[in-house]
Amino acid sequence: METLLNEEDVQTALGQVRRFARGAVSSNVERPEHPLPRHSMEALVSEAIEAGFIPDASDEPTGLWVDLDDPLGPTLSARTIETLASVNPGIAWACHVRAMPVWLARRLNRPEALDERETVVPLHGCYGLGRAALPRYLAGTELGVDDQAMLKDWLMPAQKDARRVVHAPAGFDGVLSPYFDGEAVRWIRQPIGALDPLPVGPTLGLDEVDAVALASSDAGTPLGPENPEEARNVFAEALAIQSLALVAVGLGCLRHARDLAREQAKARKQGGRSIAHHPAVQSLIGSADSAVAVVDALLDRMCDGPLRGSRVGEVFAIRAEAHPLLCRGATDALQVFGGSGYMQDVGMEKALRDSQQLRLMGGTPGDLARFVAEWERVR
Amino acid sequence: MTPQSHLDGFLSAEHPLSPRGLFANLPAAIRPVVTPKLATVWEQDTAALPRALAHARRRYRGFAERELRDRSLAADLAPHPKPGEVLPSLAALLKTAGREGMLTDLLPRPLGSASLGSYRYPLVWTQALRSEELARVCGGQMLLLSAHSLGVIPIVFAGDLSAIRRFVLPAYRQTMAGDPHLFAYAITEPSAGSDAEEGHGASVSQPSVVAKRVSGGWSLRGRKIFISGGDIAKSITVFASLENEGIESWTCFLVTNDMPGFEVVRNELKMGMRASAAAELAFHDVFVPDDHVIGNPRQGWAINRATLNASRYAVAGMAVGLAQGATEAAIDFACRTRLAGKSLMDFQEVQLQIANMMTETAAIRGMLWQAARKAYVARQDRSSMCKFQCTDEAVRVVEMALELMGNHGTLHESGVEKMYRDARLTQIFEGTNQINRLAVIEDQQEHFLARIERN
Repeated sequence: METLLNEEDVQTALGQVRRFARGAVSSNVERPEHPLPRHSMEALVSEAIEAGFIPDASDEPTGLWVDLDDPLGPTLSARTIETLASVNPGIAWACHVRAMPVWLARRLNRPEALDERETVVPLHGCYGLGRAALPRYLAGTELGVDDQAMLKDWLMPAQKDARRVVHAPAGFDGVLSPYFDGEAVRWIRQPIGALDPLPVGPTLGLDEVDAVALASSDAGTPLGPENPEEARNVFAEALAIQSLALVAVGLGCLRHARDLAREQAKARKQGGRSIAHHPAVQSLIGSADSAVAVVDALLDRMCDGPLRGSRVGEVFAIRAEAHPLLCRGATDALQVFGGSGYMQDVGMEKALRDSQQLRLMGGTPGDLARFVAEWERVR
Repeated sequence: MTPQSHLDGFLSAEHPLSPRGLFANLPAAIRPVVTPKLATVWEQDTAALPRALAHARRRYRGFAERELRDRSLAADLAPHPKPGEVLPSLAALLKTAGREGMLTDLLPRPLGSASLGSYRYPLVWTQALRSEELARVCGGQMLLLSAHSLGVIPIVFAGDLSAIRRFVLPAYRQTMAGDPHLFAYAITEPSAGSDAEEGHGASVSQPSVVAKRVSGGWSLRGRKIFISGGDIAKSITVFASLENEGIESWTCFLVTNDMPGFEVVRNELKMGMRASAAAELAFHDVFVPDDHVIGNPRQGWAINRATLNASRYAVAGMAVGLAQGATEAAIDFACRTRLAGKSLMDFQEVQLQIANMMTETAAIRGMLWQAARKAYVARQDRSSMCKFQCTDEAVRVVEMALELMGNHGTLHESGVEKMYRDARLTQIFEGTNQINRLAVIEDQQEHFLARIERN
């Protein structure tokens, strides 16, 4: 395998991301109670593309999820997202959302998949993670009738009002949808109009991106892949990438919340002295600290080597443990602030909402744990 | 479509092995003991209450469903009103609540709206039932209606009949006539959150609102923050230290919003419970006449602590209500959502999660009712135990509901994401849950000291 990146390259690239995050991003999100306006988000994402942090449709793209065959590729992408998320999780997620179609089009070797101006890849189906059918499929087990029905309905639900929810910056006009055709999960390029997009208003977190509910439709251009095994690998890799992104955003979010809590504990006096001296506060900050340390180590483990589809079980297992830790850390960090933490202008409640939102996207910890149990059983 | 006779993994009631049918074949003398009537948990719990409280619980639920349900999501999304302004729909709610006696139930009829029958039981129990049923439907509107009672409690606990006669009764009459006269309770100060809620830090804290003696009364200067309902209250029980003295001199003053120098500075932008504002109040040398001192000077700390000991049961009730609301929303979602031809309710993982939610909610309700039914004297240890245990557990239950609904739970329209934001406040106000844990120890410290002495 050709190795293009070395440790120095990664650190240099991350240094550039840090400067971008602390400069352009930070100045746009100083008021957590006021979500970033759409035009500012578009400008920031364009700037990130320009800077090479997010790949575009060019022949030689650079940035997120481009170098996944390289042993250091996952680290570079995940830490890029984490760095952005430590300033604003919504923007970090938006960058990931913009990068995914480029990864997929390259992976499928179908550049025409990016013909629409902006495209999203809704990976999760209408509910959960396809129960036991998904690990059986990804592990290459022969599927029963029930499994096939589950995968079909999960990705393209038959129930009239069952919709897939996409969290992405507003204005996308194309969707690369996975669907199960009875043999494999393949992809279809769909214009947004075919999916009767329904804005579903605000969500628990990630205020900077919109939530849109998509109806089911098989209208569109099939993208393959033809080979069933290849199709399985592509879908597994896509799921693993998304999990890595969710954990990376969550870790950046918690780092920020933990740092704010530390500053608050130092500055705030209660009972005549800094609250940092109170064991109750130390316990809360210690909880956030340990969550950061553990998830940081878990993220390293997720990035340890090329991100192949065969690692999806391991990645899911890590994510199942990471998100509850991240949420615990965020809620404990908020508690350090007492009543102030509940107010939007402080930023802690946003960190908590974002953490919870990330926990629930792309499969919940419970979904992931059940996936892992079946994956380990059948593979 | 043929009606489903049983959930996946279970026997139908008609199956030969179903206990329902088998119990019916047992001897007549035993049958009533082993064969409960079909009833939801809510029906079972309500039936177990004393008649007056069961009646109150049904009334609260009816009110909440009728008046709060349809306003809930819109009130949460609406921009925070400016100080002194109320959303038209919430203004209408307050009028209706006033007319229906929901704002005047601290006192019995004819002074207030509480039934005499309910007075046979601790008032905190009734208040906990009330906050549960209202919070089950909408945390924000519950707080809008409940913060008012919190403002009245200090006047009741001061044992100052004159103050009740002069301040509470006219306000209650006005409210029951459909013109709400709201109260608020102002203790928290910019420099001291928990200091104002427990004694651990209070002894060395620097009070922010200070009362200076002037001819015929007191002049109040300083600020209070995070005052629920402080933006629209006409009367506010304000706790202030006397000039050059510490918090031990705290005195409770009845401040009305038309007193010169009183200002609602701003309403906070909150995470949840957004139908009720948290206001910052400023006192610019507000003259408060002597007859507006509630109780006696320097009794404020005691009145405050007694108020919190009572109100923490109501906060625990809010938490139980939010857990109940989230559980019901999850059940509703699981019953209406289908995947691969089956209802989610047919899946074992969903059944397990819902059973957990129902049980955790029943557990905290049981804890609260057990403590409240004996709370003729509101004990600090019990009220704090209920407050932090019920609120911590309620947040966990709401998180379970979110998890069960997955991505759909994060949508505002699901209602559960709002419940999460609402529930998170219950772990903070009326003393953070850390402070409430310490309050348990404080209340029991004589026993611990005796054991230390013995060793």
